[in-house]
Amino acid sequence: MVRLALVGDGERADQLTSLVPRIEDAEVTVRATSVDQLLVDESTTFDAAILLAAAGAGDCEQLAGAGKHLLLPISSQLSTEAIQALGDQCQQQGVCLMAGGTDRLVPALQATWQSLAAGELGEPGLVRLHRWSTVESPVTVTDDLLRDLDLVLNVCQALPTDAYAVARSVRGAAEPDYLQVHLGFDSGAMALIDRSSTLPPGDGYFSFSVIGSSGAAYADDHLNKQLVFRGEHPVAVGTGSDDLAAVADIQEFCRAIQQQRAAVVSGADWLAAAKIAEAVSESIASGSAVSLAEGRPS
Amino acid sequence: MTAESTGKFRCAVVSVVKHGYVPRGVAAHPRFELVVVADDADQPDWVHERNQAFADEFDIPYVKNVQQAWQDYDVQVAVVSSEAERHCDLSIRAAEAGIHVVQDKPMSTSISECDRLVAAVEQSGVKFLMWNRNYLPALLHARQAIEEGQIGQPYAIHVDFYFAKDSGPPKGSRADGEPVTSWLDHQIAAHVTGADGGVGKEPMGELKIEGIYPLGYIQFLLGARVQRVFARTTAHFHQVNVDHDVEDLATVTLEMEQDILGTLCIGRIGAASHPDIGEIKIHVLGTKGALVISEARPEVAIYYRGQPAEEFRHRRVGMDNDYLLMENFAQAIDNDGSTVLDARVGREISGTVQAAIESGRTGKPVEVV
Repeated sequence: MVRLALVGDGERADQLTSLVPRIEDAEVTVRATSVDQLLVDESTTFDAAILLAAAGAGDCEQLAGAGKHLLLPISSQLSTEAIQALGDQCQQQGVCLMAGGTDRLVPALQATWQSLAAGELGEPGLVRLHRWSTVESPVTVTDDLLRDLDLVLNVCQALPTDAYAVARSVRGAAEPDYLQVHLGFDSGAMALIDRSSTLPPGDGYFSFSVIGSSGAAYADDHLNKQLVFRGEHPVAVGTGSDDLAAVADIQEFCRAIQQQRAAVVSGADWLAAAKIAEAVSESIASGSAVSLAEGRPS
Repeated sequence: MTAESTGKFRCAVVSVVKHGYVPRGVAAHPRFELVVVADDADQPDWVHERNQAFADEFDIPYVKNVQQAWQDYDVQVAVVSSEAERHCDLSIRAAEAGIHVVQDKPMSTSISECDRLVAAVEQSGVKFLMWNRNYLPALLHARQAIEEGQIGQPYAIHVDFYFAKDSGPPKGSRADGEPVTSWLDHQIAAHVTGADGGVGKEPMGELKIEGIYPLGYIQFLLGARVQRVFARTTAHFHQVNVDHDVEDLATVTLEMEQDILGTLCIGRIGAASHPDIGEIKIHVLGTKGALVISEARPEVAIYYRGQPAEEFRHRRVGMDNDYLLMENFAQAIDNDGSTVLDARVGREISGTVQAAIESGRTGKPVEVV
């Protein structure tokens, strides 16, 4: 049984607590609002910590130093150096580090991974990803980019050779709210990502397609909408699977701990995405393509 | 020239070496009458055979002398659907003879030829239409939504244009020492499946063969000229593309006028990759909303026992592109207006394609000239 500590509060913490009973051999033994509180009061009552919000390097180091396995949202709050250091520390301590909330385990994409792994799609040639969010839940597009880069990397199974990116501040904010990323790989494969946070209040949009040498997969919100009629034009409504993705994240985390293996989205995966995000930022600033030598902008 | 006496335009089909979708589209409008097929006498036998077959199908004469055909049949419109490298030459000759032109894609295999065509069309005052798909129902709907301001000011556009067709054997299928099939021979052989869009002597990738369609959509929807591109290109699917060093898959970052951004994904991705002709989608982001448009819709799904594997399961309906294009062309002639994709816009699109190919080769952003 993996004893889980949930660090965070609010509705999301309640929701995750209610989901954990669905997970085999895991239970929430403690909830805390901060890592400090957790380690002072409850350090012996849990094996692994799930952080609901992006954490600073200090919190992560404390938990890993205490021998606690760690699941936290992938984020650019940590520098590549800090991610590298945290990964090294976790390895030395023999604890599992997993970057969560990456979409790697959402149902539609799991079907895509299965098809890729079975060789049905052949050699990947193109990954195309659109992710649009709303103004009511603003994200800095470059901050949340790691999730998308992780998905691309999982298809191509290699670091890109170069990155070209352009960004705009459509609504006039200091940070861009629109971003396009164009990646190339040694194999000849390529990827295009566009991210926007300018949709009006309501649902966002996500589309992910993989074009391979012998097949293709299209995971697209456009194809997964139901119609609701309530006057004038019907409304297209998505059928949510957020809970399933959250359950899958925690399940994978617990299995990786029990099987003493790296989690599906490991510290190394997080680091790879973060290095590309650095190149993306550099490309936006320079207006030119940035070459990545051994995964680092050069 | 105008259709003063009958209201009808007399059209010469000036070479028809592909599967004839352009002259068939022209004939879909009651004001356009195909009266003759014409070509130069010095063309090879396979060209004459295809011209003759089309003439026989439409029960019109085939004349192996273009100028003679124009004179003898009082031609007002030339419908050019030859090999790509002959497109501009035939269109320029028509324009210089005062004949309006409807031309198949690509505009040309060379930018200098495109420039020569623009000059000829503008000097002669004839009307020119590059064949396109801008009047498909989904495109018209998208344009209406944009014009009505439903998504605010557009700031980004993305087009996926994947043709789920094969182009001969897959990449890696040619054994060492096995001779390379010439591009032209491959295209001639592909005629039977209709996958001969790149017919001609000069090898062309998907950007050149099909790029006019998605880039035409962008121009039609936003009216913004592409200023700078960054592209990745590769031959990922087909041996013929590998052998001739032309792409069958490309991605292009587009930087446009009015600070609009965009991307294009284009490829001939193989018949196994989609149940129909391919995933063709348009995404438009605006300051107040967004559009996600499937170019194929409206369509009807039809499945039945014994259905051939290669038959599309989804059939497009409500298609009026051919008629509407030709109505646009007729209106341009009648009212001395411009066509929905005229020579100058066609040249701009060709410039974007050329820049993308160069960017794919160099790995650097390229300004569109």
